[in-house]
Amino acid sequence: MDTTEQYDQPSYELSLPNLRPASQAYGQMEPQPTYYDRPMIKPSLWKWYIPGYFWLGGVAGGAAAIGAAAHFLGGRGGRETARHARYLALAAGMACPALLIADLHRPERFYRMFRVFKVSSPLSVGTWILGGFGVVSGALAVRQAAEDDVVIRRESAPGRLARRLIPEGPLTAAHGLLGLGLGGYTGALLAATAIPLWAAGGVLLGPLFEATALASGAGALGLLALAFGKRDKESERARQTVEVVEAASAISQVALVLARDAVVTSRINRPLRSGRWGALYRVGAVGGGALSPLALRLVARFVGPRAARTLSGVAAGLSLLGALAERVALLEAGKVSAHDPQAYQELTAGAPGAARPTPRQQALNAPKSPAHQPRIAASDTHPAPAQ
Amino acid sequence: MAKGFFTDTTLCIGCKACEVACKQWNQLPGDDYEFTGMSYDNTAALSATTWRHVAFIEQFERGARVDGHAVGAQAGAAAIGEQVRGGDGQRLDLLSLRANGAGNANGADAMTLTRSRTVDAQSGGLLGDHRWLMMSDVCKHCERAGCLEACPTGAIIRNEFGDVYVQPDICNGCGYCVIACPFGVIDVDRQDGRAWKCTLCYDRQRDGLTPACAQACPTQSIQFGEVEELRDRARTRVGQLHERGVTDAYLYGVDEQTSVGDLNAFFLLVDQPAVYNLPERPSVPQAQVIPSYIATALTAAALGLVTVAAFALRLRSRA
Repeated sequence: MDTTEQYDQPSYELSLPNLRPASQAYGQMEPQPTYYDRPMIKPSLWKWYIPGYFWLGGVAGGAAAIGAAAHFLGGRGGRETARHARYLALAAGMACPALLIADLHRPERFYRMFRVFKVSSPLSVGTWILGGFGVVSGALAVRQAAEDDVVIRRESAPGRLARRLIPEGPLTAAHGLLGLGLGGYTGALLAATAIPLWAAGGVLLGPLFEATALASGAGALGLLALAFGKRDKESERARQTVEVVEAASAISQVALVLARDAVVTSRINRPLRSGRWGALYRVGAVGGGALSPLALRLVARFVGPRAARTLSGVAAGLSLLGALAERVALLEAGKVSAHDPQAYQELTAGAPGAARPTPRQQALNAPKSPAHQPRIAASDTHPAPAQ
Repeated sequence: MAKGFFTDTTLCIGCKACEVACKQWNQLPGDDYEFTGMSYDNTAALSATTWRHVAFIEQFERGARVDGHAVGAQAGAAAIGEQVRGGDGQRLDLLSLRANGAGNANGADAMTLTRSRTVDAQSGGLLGDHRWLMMSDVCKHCERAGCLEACPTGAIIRNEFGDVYVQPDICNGCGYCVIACPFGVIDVDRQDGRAWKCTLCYDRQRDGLTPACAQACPTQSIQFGEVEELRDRARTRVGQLHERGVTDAYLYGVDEQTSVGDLNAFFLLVDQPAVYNLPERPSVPQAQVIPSYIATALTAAALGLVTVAAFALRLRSRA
């Protein structure tokens, strides 16, 4: 293979640079030289706050999106779902910034995040999404509280004001859209890094996180409906609709996990294939958080209504916890991945093992020899020993 | 008119004057005394408080052993002038051979040729083929910098000298730049809480001075100047080295089709980039941003439609 040819191709890659089937021989590199096995890149410094935030943000965002659909299309039962979603979004929406600020190494400067808006930085985009989501969540929760006569008296002056001034329809639509953004942007955030485990097949992380966000949001809404919802036909119907959304999201989740496994080379994917985080990912997130809720819902179709409700609750709880397992496993496995120089070399492989000639060198017609061979012959540097 | 570094590793003698000068000028705290046990490199990596790092690569023929002794032990024996029997039965004075080799090359290029053959190749290589490589690593000040594009506060900017600079009064220590650097350069100082890396001596440049590391380098391995001019100089140097038989020499970070673009701090290397702990073909992580946004938006749209359809159909089935 002519190695120079690869460099002549413009590779300012906006195409999908790391979507390379693992089955291709090129993806499985021979072990490359390393610098005493030292890492080539730095691991993330994120503490547990960040997977915690990814999870909570996903739950809140997913719930807000489902709540918005329920509000507009779900009838009376759907409005109950929307009500749950608003309170949930308020609670999680308040916890999320706290987690993010706690993770900063200079928390007192958190507001600097609002200096700029940068499309190139998913973190910046996410800051604004979360900011907008928080404002809308707050407004909707205030209105909902006034309507429900909770904390704010329905007929008091603030209650009337809230019900009149806060436009429910547009804000609910915005809430749903921002919720979808909040659920998915975190995947793009991980993909746009040098960490091999996140960058390889990174284009699938956003979709995976989105699916997980909706599944866990649906799980949370399901639990809330079981705990606080009315037990009439309308509410039950809305609850079951949420379950349909949860099942669809879980199926997408499994499909995306499989797709990701197919395109990420085994060396890069190693921290998610084996070890502690691999187990948490496979058993906890995929098995426990996606497959078993699907199975439980299937079983629930064949048992009595009481048992079905119990199974629904268990399945919803598993969806919720599985999402947390997925976030934790992916973030922690990413740290492991950063320490593996071989994995990073697979991610950044050019023409394997070839020193790259510059145009100047090509002009000089420099004799080339394979990179692994010693290229300075003894006779170049040392005279033959005297006999 | 960007300013940058040309680090010619064939001239580096591993003295670490650059590391010291950098620490001193930039008032960087000392790091812990860590004995890495991996060559003479006890600095190990660039960090928030280490902006120049001299990599020290010992290359001995892998797996070569003579009479059950590791090659390194044999080399040690050779260094004290011991007579060693060559594979072809000749007794060879290793020190005189080595002196011959060094005398053959001229001036600084002797450093390039530290790879010394102590016995003839046909003899099977008693001490094998070995050499020391040294490289003073530094922030590359990429044309398209991952850290700069990742920074959510706008703390990381490109300054008037074309270099990537972290404004310490803005940075809030989110740490996203750390994982966005394709070279593992920038890091957060755990005590100070902000991200730090080479500033290319922004303060010195403003006063028309050469950055501390380049100023301190005794062999001109680190050269500072206009990047365009440095590139010309570097290409000429590669040509000279090729003419002298060092055909492995090439430039890392110049004229390469990578998404990070040309590097303002580039290197002349004589082995694969990975040997120096550099990625073969670095790519800027933000190349994934737009595809990721699109894929996420499509998924959100699809699952959103499923949600809407689920509620809409249920509503109709009730009616």
